[in-house]
Amino acid sequence: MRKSNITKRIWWGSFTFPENTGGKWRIGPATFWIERSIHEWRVAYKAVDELAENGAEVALPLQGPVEHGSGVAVTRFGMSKTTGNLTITPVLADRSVVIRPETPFYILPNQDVAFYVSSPLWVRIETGDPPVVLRDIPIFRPSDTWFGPSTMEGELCYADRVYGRLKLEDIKFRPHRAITVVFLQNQGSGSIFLERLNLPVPNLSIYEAEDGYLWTQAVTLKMGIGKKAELELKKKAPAAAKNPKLISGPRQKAEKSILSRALKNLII
Amino acid sequence: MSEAFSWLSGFITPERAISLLRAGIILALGIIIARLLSSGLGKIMKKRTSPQQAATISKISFYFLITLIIISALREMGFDLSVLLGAAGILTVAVGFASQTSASNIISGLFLLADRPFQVGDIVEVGGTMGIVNDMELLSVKLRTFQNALVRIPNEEMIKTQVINYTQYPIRRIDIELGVAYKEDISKVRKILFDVAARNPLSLEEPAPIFIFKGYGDSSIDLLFGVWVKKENFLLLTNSIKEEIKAAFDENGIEIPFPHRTLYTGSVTDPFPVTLVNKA
Repeated sequence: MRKSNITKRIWWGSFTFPENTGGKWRIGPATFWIERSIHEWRVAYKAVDELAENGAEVALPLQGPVEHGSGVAVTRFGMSKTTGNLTITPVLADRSVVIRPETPFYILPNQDVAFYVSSPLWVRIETGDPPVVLRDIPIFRPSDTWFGPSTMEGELCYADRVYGRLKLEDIKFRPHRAITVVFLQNQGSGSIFLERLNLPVPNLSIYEAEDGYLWTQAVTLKMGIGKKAELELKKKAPAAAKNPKLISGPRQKAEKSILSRALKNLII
Repeated sequence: MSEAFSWLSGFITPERAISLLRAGIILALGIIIARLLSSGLGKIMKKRTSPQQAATISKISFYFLITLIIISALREMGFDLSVLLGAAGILTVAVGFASQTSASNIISGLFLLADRPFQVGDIVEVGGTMGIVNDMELLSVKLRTFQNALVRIPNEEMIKTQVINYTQYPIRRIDIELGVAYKEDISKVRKILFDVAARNPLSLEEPAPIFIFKGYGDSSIDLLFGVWVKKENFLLLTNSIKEEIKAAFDENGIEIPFPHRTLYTGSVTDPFPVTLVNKA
């Protein structure tokens, strides 16, 4: 049985704001304050160290001016007339995420290894009909990193601060992260060394399991046949996610060039 | 007046009027066709080459077509082109001597377009001038400096001098030179610097920052700390990481020394006498 100390409070979904009220969302390390007035939405955001905070809670509606203290970035959005509906959706990063295992390891020939990965989430705040995106920001902005064979050739990605694991029990479930199972299939005759894995999260969807945790669909990485590696994105969440419900689709459609790439562009 | 009119009426015979009309039609239609053809060629080339190369090819093709059209129109009007071409040859030599610099710039411009060491929008440094490439023309390259001044550099100069393109590759390294006091533990300093880089989201995790022990300076241990950054964030990280290093050094009591001069009186001499002054 999985153990976790997070408050299983769901922070996403549709919310109704009466006029001149606000709400406060604490999602892991970040706190969002959202206010609605007749002609304006205000979104304030502040984050502390990512791994220091866990849990999530939503306070809504808050009457009068919302207190968020100093040092908070406030963004204002003017409208002819605001409507009270606001949708908050978790989405995956807008670039690929690079994950390291706790210790680099070899994938032996003809082996299929399940590698569990926890990716950082972004928050998309939308209002109106048709919906207009007010903000699409990371809950905690990950560090940039470079993934490629040289400093001239490669891809700009985000570096994941959480190590990938070979056992699901070793992954800590957090409300501001989504879990992906990557099946690493070595179909060749030689061992493959895994030091860093490039996971194209903009092509993945997010599912909510019945316990409130977030998952993406499983991914299979087929390696060892020639220099190309193939990524296969499953159509649904893995079996470990009970009664999964799709809550957000991919940012980008997965094209052939993303799914079939040189191995050096996917793992190092 | 009447003499001039009679000469003109004698000159413009019906045959000549027809050839003049033909020449006019050739010129008018020719200019339209040349414009359409050159702009069409420019559009096709834009998909295959850079916008500057496409514009140059379009311009060259337009002037070439216009020359052909003028020659055809002159022939239609009954001019002897061999005489005209001979005169043009002499004129070309004369103009060539007079416009050596311009010709050199044009040829250098063509080499620059073929070589493509930079493109419009790149940040380059040419002979001590740094700026964003605003325009690349046949005669010159125009840079916009960060002080928002326009610098025109002749193409010949661009070919001859060293050009540094800072935006050729997607990532860049920021080298920070710093000195710490001799008393400091270098492994601790190294750890603090790497922690600062790890905390700053703009500093790339890979390629990892570099740490070089440069040497024993006059007043400090000289170090070089290099962090990699996405080229667009160069300035942002340059500022933020230097501030963060200073703050981290202050927090950890790491001294950044200024030049010292120690007065040594020698082993055989007595130390300097020190007197405590009580201000109270």
